[in-house]
Amino acid sequence: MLMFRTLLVYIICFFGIYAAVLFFISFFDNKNMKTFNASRPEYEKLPLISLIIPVFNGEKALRKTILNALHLEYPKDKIEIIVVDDGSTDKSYKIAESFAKQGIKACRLGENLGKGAALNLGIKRSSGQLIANLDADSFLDRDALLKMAGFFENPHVMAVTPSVKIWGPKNIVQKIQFVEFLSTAIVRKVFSYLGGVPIISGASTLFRKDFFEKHGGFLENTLTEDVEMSLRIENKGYITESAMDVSVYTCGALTFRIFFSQRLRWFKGLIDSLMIHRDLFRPSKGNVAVMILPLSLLAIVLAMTATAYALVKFTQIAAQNFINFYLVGFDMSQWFDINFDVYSIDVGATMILPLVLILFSIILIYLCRKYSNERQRIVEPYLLFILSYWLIAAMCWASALIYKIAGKKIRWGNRHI
Amino acid sequence: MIPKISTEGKENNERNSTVRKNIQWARYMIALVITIFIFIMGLYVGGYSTNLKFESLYDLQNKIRSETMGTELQYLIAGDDPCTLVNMDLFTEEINKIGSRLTDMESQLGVDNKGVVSLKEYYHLLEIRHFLFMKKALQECKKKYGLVLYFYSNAGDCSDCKEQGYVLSYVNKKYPVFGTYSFDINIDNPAIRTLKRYYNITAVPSIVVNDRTYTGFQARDDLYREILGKDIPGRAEAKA
Repeated sequence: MLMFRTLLVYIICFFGIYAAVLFFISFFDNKNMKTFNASRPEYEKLPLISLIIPVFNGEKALRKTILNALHLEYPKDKIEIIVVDDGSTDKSYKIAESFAKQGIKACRLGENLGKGAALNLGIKRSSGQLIANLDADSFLDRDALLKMAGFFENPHVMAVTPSVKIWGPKNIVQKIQFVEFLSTAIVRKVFSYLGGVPIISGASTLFRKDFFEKHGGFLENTLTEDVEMSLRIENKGYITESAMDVSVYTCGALTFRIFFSQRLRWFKGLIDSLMIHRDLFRPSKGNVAVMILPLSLLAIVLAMTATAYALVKFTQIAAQNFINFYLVGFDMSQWFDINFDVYSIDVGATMILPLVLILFSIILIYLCRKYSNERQRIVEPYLLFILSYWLIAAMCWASALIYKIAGKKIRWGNRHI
Repeated sequence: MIPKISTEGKENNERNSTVRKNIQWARYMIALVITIFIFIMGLYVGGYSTNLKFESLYDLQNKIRSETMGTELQYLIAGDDPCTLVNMDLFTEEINKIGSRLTDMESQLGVDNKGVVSLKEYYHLLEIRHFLFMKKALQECKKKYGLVLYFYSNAGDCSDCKEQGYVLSYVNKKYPVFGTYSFDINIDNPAIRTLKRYYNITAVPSIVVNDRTYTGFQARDDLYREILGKDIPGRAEAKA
């Protein structure tokens, strides 16, 4: 058991440190640093952008989201805003119509067909060269579109994704998500440098409309239309850029239950999308096949193994403590007799290497915060994240795998996929 | 210093998808070399600090050996009343400290770790030496203080040993009127073999109280009765 624990710690640390080092040297590569931002196109060259806001029973936040879209820093004659109601039963559509004077176009699907279908309707009604989506409960930095549009000067770029962030995290779940989302900022950036798959942000991403015309719109019968689109862009040999210093803010899941079901949907959606685009595992696909996908999958397997081991160990310790407690007649007096001996702290490699890994994770989060212009407090959310996320993520992954193997469907909106 | 990011970004347009798709073997190899270096450094630092811990434990054991020998000699030479020297408190505290530190080392490095096994052997010899001295001194001075020998195994072949160890240390803490000497029966040393033979230790857990061997798990109340020859205070009245 001890050998297994030592081996597991060494393997996790080795690959964890390897990934961190790879991230550092890729992020600080001189060539990459020079291309961190795109140049801002001149006014005449700015493309027409159609901003699509799909909404399903989102009356609470929709008004704010539309106002945010209206106040984006982008020439008014070069942006159209389309709100697509995905069969809501609340006042979402009425709210969208009330902004008609400000130029908001509202359209609706007859029934709830999902975000993919709503986006496709929006694309059909759009006249822009670029298509941006924005979730009805999210909002973008004021200069987001200006910063992102420049990346499209490279004709191979089909999508530009910003950093997704949680706005004003209040409870524990939001704080964990705050760090989870923030940490993906550097992952997206480095993956884009390596030509991998920077999974686009579902909350908001800017696309080249040509891609939809050539390769079709969003899949409508999937749990994660954004993930499938990311993989499709990669599979077709195009580039997805990451605009790390541009933020799209969302409120995230508010309870652990919603958080868990959301991750379950995302992870199963990712598995489904990887099955569709399994070509990406062929070595001819380059970095994505030889490094990015294997390293990501290994991280998931290791997190699940570590969690399983931790749960077994925790159960054993809890059972042993209960037996001991029973044997002394449930006498609690000795609980308060704590003699901490500094000597009991493990100072071996199985402690040093995880500390190195934690140090690297702190540096990575620091980089994410600095380069994505994040100003919200990070220390407490980081501690919550580092203590719990691996466990939560591993459990969500295990559940997603079970759902996939058992062929169980997941409810999303009014549909089961 | 963290490099500054260019805000121009003109070179972005020079990149194309072909460059992006080239497998970046050189980068992966550099990352691998750096990782191996960090990993080896981690192993080295970990090994070095563990050695320091071993050394400090050796020092502590040597200190106890000197103290034990000192007390023995004092007892032999003492002109006044040698019985005032027979004091278990200091020794119990220090021997317990080594015992719990060895347990920590075992859980961190494994029961088979050579350093741990060697420290443990030395520890057991110290225990035997002190036990023999105390036994003789207590008899000669006619002092009432119990001496308990506890034999266990943590090689995975004794399901009750963890519980027995816990209950024994609980009783000892609760009623500090006896001293416990614990022995791992897997430590191979002539003195421990002789001790096992002398007290007829055939299975674990086994407890020797006043030269009488009890084999198998002993519950809290039984232990108290065996060691002190009476029921736990308050319990007898409750029964009546």
